Amino acid sequence: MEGKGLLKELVGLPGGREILKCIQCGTCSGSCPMVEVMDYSPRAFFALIKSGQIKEAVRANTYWVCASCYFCSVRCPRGIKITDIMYAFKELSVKKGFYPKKEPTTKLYESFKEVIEKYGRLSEAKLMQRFAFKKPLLVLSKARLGLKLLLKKRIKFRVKPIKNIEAFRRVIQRTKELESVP
Amino acid sequence: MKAVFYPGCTLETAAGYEESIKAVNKVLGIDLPELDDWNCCGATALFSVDKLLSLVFPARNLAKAEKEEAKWIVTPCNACYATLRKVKAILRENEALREKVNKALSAEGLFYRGSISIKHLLDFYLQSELFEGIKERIKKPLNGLRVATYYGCQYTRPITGEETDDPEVPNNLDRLLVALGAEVVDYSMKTYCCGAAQMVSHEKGCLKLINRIVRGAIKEGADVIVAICPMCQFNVELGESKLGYRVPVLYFTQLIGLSLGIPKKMLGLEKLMISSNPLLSKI
Repeated sequence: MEGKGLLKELVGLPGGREILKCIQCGTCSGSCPMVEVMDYSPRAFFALIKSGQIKEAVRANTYWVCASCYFCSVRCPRGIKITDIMYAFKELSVKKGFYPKKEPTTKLYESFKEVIEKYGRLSEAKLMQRFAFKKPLLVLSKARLGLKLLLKKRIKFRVKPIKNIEAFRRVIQRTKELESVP
Repeated sequence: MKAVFYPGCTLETAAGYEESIKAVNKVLGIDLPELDDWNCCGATALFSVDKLLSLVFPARNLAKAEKEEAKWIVTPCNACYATLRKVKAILRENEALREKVNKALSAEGLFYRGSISIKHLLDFYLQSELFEGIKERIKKPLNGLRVATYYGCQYTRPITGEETDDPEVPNNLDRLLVALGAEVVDYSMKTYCCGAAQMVSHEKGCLKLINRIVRGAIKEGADVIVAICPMCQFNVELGESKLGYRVPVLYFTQLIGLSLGIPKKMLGLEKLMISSNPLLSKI
């Protein structure tokens, strides 16, 4: 993918132009609870983008690992809505298929979407079942936890779809049609 | 003021949250009907992968609540609360998106006007009349109990204009617990992140966050950590169990219930992984 074309697209995202206002103070990285798991801290991530190293930035797990706590957003002295930008990156990366392929969160969120589109509601058990197809070892490592929860009656395997599931699916279908219109 | 209850998907499996809400509402004589045929808000996951759909999912609930002529939609979950607030703010500011969302909703004969207010269950109980009602009915004040309030992230963040408390130093839950007779400890982790869904994919990193939260509470001698969100409760309780800590993590409604003299078994306390017995013997 052409780096420059992508930069244009990133800056064109809702709030994307704000990246250019970043003064590299590091308040975001200092506030970020997930920073130790990230390939690049939020500050370093913005530095990459500003210096044109777009490919390196989008290959990083930074934006997928964002837990959406909004600390950076409420603290940024430049008023950059950093969390919203991370969300925009995630969505763009799914659309363009450039996300880090090993990142489990991407698969987790896709599984989540599949479940709620099908039933209208989430069931943690169904979510983990779906996620298991994509990341079997990761899910297997949670088996003991699942058993503990089961003993405490904190897991429900049966999911009842919402009553008006047919109409709900029509809404989803209509949304997808609208999405394809620019 | 008509209010409808939006439980969210995780309430059903949350350790005694639903039970305690029902028991407390019964004692207080609160009629809070459940929103008919509600759907998942989509939370962080849907917001990450599908923008338009992530607006439509919450908007369907808001539109349904408006159709029921509710003024308030009340939710016990921080993620639902933040998602509904975010979507309301986005649709308020972006007319083109609002039109698109309404086009999608029209497939079910729904229309989102934007008139509904979004309330967290905590704030619902803090309305002056209800708050007074709670205080009047206290049978067993929580005297001598040291509590660490844990708000999590999304009760006060992001800032959308509808929050009721400070983004980093909130006080609402503290006020409630002080009124119940508890002693609220000061610690710096009240709005720190539990890792949320990242606990599934990046457990090692998230356990560090839980460690900071729980150690913060222990250092101040807290007997119990009080949560206002199913995800927060789950992550802190299960996380600290793995780390070898044993501080019970209760929902605020379970503590309201205890102070109102509601029997333990009606508050779902047996579903907790870390037994609440040590704190029960203190009250």
